[in-house]
Amino acid sequence: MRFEKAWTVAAKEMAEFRSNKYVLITLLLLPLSMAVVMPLALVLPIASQAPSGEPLPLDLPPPDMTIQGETLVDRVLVNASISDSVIRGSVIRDSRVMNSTLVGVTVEGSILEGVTIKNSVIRGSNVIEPGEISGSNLVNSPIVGGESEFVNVILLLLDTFLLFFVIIPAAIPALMASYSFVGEKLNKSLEPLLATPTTDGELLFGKALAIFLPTMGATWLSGVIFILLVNLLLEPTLGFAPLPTPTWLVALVLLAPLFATLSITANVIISSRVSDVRASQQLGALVVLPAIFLFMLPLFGVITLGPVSILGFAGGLLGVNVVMAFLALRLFRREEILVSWK
Amino acid sequence: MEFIETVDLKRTFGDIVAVEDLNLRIREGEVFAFLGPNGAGKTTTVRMLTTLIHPTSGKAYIGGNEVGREPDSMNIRAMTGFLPEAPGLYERLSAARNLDFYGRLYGVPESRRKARIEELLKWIGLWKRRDSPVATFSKGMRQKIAIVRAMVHDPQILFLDEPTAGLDPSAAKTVRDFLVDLGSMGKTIFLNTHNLSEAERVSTRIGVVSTQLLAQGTPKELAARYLKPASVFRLREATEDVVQAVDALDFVEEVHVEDGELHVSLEDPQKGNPAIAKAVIAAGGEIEFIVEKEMGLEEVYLRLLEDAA
Repeated sequence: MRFEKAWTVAAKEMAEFRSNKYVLITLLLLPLSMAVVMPLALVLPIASQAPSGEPLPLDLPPPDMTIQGETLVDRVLVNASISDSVIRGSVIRDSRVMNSTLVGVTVEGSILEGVTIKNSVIRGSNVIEPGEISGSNLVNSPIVGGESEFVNVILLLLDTFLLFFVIIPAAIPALMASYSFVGEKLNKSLEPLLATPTTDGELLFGKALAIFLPTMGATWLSGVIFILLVNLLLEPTLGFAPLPTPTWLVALVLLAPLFATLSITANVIISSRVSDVRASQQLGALVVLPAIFLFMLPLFGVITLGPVSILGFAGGLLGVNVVMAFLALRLFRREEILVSWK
Repeated sequence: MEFIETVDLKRTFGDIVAVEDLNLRIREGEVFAFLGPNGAGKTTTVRMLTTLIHPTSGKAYIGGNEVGREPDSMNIRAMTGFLPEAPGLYERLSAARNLDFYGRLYGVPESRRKARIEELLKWIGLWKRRDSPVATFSKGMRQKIAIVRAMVHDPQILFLDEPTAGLDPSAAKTVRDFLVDLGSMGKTIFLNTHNLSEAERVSTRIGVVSTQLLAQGTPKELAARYLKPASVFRLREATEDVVQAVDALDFVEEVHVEDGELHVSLEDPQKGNPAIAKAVIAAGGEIEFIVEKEMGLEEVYLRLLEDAA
C-alpha cells in the first residue's frame, strides 16, 4: 500500500465533493442542524424549567386565612396558607401552598412546597421539592431541592442525544459513497482510473479516506457545537457543565468513527453491486440500523448506556469492521466491475 | 523489435466469444489501426492489453511484460496511456486538476508534472482554460483533454479506443489531426476504430478484426493481397456488345458496368489494356479515357468482412 497514491485519490475525491452541492448540504446542514436545533428545541425548554439553585427572596407576611383539606375551584386566594388541598382554575398570590395539587392555576409570588403542578403558570415563586410537574410554565420560578433526580434525568436525556451523533457518521457515508463509486460508474471515469498503476487497495483506501475525513470532521464539529451549546444553556441552572460525560467521550471518539467505517465499507460493497445512485443511497442508509439498535437496548433494560457498555459494543464493531473491510476489498473486482457495469 | 505481441489471445464472456486466435505483432513507433465493426472485439482486446481484464487463454506481451501477471501488469500500466471510448473525465474538476490527478497516479514528479501539464494544455490550445471545470467544455475539447490525460506521464505506448466516436465532423477532424501529430512524434499507438478513412490517414499499419484477426498490413499491402487490379474505361456509351467483347478476352477475369464506366479486373493492366481498348473499339464503343482503378481500404475491409461472414 503506497499511502501517497491513496492520498492522491482521496484529495481528488474531496475536491469533487467540495464542488457537489448535494454532498456539501448533507455534510454541513444535517450535522449542524442537529447540533444547533436539538439543544434549542429540546434542551432550552428544560433549561427554562430547571432549578436555578437559588430560591427567590420571598418574604411572605403572616397569612390572612388558612385552608386545609379542601377542594377549591375558580377562587382568588391572596395571602393564604393552603395545605393538603386540590385547587382548580384559581389564582393564588403571595401565599404558601403545601402538599397540594394545582390544576389550571395561576400562581404569583408564592412558595409551593411538595406540590403537584398540572397545566398551570407559576411566576416569581419558589417551587420546593415538587411532585410531578406537567404541562406547566415556570417563569422565574426556581425549583429548590430534588436537584439530583432532575440532574439524572437531564444526563439520561443528554445520553440519548448521543444517538444522533452516532447516526450522523453512519448516514453521511451512504450519500458520499454513492457519489464516489456509483458516480464513477455513471461518469465512466473508472476505466481510465483502473488503467493507472494503482492497486485496488490504494483506490479503495483513498476513496474511503475521502469519505471518512469529512464525515468525522462534520460529526466532531457538530458534537463540539452541541456540547458547547448545551453547557451554555444548562450550566447556569445546573451549576456545572454537564457535557462531555465519559459516555459521550467514548462514543464520540471511538464509536462514531467505527460506525463511519462500517458505513463506508458497507457502502463500498453495496455500490459495487448496484448501478443507481438512489438505490445505493437507500441501501446504504440501512447501516444506521445497528446504531439505533444500540440505543434501543437500554430502553428495554438489556444494557445500561455507559462507557463500559459502549466500549464493549465498540470492540464488537471493530471486529465487524475488519471483516467488512476484507469483504469490500475482495468484492471490488475491477474486471467484474468493468464488464458488468453498464 | 515487437513492442506489442499477442499469441492466440482469446476472451470469452460466458458462451460469447469476443476475441479468438488473435496473433498481433506491433513494432515500436508504429501507429497500428485495429479496424473492425461494432462488436468485433476491439475494445475487449484493448482492455486485455491494458490489463483491465484477463485473457481467457493465450498470452500477450507489452514491452516484454506479460499481461495478467504481477508485477508485469503494473509495469504495463505504468508504461501505457489509455483513452477509453468515453473520455471519463471528472467534470466538476478543472482541466489542469484532471491532468494533475493522473500525473500523480502515474508517479510524475511535481516539478516535471507542472511543466508537462502546461506543455500538453498549450499543445491542445486549452492552456487559457486550464482552470475551467471540464463540464463547461465542448465534446471535442473534452476528447482532447482525455487524449493528453493518457500522455501526461509520457508513455511509451498509447491505446486509443474509438477516439473520434460520437464527435461531430469538425471535432473529429481536430482529433484526427491531433493523432497524426502524435504519430509523427514516434509514439507507438494502438488505435481502435471502425472509421476507415481515419485508419487509412493516421496509421502506418492496419489490422482488420471480426472476433478473429482477418488481415494485417499497410493499406497498399492489403489491397494488393486481397483485391485484383482493375482498369476503368470511361465510354461514351457502355453497350451490351462492348461488355460481351471485353468479357470474351481470355485474360479478363471480371467485367461490369458501374456509373456508365466499364470496370475490368485483370492480372496485368499494363499488358492487357491495349487489347481491351481494341476490343471496345471493334464492338463500336468510343473511349473517353482509361484509368487504373484505385483500390481503397473500404473495398478490402468490406471484402474481408464479407468473406469472414
